[in-house]
Amino acid sequence: MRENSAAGTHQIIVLASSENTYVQKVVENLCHMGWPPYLVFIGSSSERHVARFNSLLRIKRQLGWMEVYKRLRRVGAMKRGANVAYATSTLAELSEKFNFKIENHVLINSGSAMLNMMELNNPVCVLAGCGVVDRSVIRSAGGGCINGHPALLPGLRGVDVIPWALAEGKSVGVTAHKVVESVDAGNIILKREVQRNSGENFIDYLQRVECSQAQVLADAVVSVANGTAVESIHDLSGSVLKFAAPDHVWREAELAFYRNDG
Amino acid sequence: MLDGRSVIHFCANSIVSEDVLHCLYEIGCRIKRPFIIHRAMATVPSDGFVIMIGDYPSDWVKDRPSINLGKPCHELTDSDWIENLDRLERQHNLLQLALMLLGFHQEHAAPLDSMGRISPGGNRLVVGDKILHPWLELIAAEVWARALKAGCPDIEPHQPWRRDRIHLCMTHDVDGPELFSLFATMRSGYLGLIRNDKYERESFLMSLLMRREGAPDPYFNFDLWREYESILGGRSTFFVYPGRISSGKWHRKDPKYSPEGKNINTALRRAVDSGWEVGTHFGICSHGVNSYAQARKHLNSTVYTTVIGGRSHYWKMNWKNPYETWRNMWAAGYSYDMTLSPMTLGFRGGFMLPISPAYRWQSESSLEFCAVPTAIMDAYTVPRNVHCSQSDMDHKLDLLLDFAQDQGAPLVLDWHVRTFINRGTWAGYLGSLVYLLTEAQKRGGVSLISGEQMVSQWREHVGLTYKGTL
Repeated sequence: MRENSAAGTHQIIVLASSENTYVQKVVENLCHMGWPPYLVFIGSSSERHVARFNSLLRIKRQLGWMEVYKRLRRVGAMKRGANVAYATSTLAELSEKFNFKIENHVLINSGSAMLNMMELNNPVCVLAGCGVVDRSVIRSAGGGCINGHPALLPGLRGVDVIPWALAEGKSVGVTAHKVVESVDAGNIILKREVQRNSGENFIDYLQRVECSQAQVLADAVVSVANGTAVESIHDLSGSVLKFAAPDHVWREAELAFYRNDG
Repeated sequence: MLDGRSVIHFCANSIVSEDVLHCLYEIGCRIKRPFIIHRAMATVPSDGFVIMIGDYPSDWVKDRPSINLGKPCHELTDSDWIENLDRLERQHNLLQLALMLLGFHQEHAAPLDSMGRISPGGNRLVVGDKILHPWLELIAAEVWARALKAGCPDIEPHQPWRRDRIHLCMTHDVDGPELFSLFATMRSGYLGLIRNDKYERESFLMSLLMRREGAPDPYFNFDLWREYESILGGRSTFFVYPGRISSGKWHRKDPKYSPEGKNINTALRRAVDSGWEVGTHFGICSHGVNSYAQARKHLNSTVYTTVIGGRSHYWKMNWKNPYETWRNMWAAGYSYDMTLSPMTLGFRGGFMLPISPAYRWQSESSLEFCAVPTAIMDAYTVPRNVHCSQSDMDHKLDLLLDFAQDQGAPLVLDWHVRTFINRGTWAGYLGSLVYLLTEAQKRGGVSLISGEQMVSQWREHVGLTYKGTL
């Protein structure tokens, strides 16, 4: 197993707004691949609330209050509707086992997060669910900033890309890419299509896509850290920026999902 | 004893105007070689290279290595930078251009706003982004190039700052350093909820949530700035509001804190003890010798430091006659002022290096007061504030860095203390600073200096180059 602070290697830091299964999976994957992070930054409860509020406000601005209500209802239903539970270790457990630090940051994108990165030697910064990062964070990550996106790129950039893809009859997959100042527009490092399993329900499929995204992201990060990554240029003419999907798009996506199962 | 050929001689034969002599002085400082200013041709040594203005007997000029600055710019056909002048400007000669800049002629016709300032649109240099060019430095370089062509010895220049890196003079205005204050929270609440400003709304939320969480005030970033600058190997200056003073008048837009406040006082004293500088952030209506002196005295005793520099809140000074403001500051004991800003990116007076306004009213011994232009303030680099795309903004910042590199001169930056949070109202404010630092790093390296350091290095340079006015 690689020392997570060995001299001469890129130090990996993980950024997340809150502790959830996605960031746990990303970190766990990195640890099991022998590349535990040096540091995991987790946002505070303030950050979580601000992010949630901003997200709902964005939906309200783009689609109206009714869509906000429907979104909240859908999120609740999805939490209850999963058949498969993916067991992950908590970050505290992983930290103890693989000897990395967890630091709480009141706010991601703040100067203090940037300060922590500056103290490291060209860190590779992994975005594991922290929203859009500021250019100060991107530029401070000397080893590169890498994000996982639940769509095949070039393709659909932005938010709610899975329901958009299904509703439009496109393949669903995940991509790990370099982060640049434009949303989901950086060079592509790795991507993988995620096909549905026969008999799988929609919510379990979404969870599996998330798992796949966590794995692809970890694979990409390791390849960047060890210098073997091959980036391909992201031709933006082949990509479309998507915004919050109205509830009817989610319903169409679900219908398309089950229709394809025959 | 300097021999005539190791010094450049400026001669303003019988021209007694202090403006003209000051102009020659500033050009001389920027040529960066030893120089003397002669009021009369009689004191010019026979073997010295002369840069002349005015008229001279032909037998005096004959066989004397010299140039005359009287040629209009449109006749200087082999200089690229002249292309950026407009038709009217090209009718003038180099000295006249320099005089116009040092006299702030580019703003003379502009009206004052409600706070007595001139908006960027009122400065003729803003047209075509000429405000981003250090015209006085380009004029000095032109003068030197012509002198060399005319046979001036190639005297080794003195460089006040190392040429292998970019120098950034880092300063922080201390305005509203506490989000948790009632005023700041209510203000963000009003602007966010009533005026629907999404950035202020986030600040308002931050104030409520973070206070409940027991987090530190996100705007109170003195220590974080110092940590950041320490990592970069530099220092900076905090311009601090002295509080309401009896000899000044309060303005509703003045900062709402006072330096005696427990948290601020502790943070400032810690900064001073660690080698950071504290200067005066003058209140909007607190001007004049008495106000400046009282502010300085108050900060000296409150923060246990010796304040030598200042900058006015909201860039407020006598915009029609900056020299009056500077004379008052000098009389109150200050050594430098950084209020000179066009309220946008760039160089308000068309010069990027400090000037010595005291030349106009005092003998050489007191040529210690410097007026230093502030080129870049945080808010002017954020695209949403100035209706400019990110790539256009980056292009302007690149241009400023290019000039800093070409001229070997520092750029003065002003990043408010609260902006280190980089969220809410100040979202994106750090991005441009990091851009400047990383781009400067690519150009060979970056050196961060405080206002005091910059002025001290400039004064040392002047001391080594300026040999007096005869």
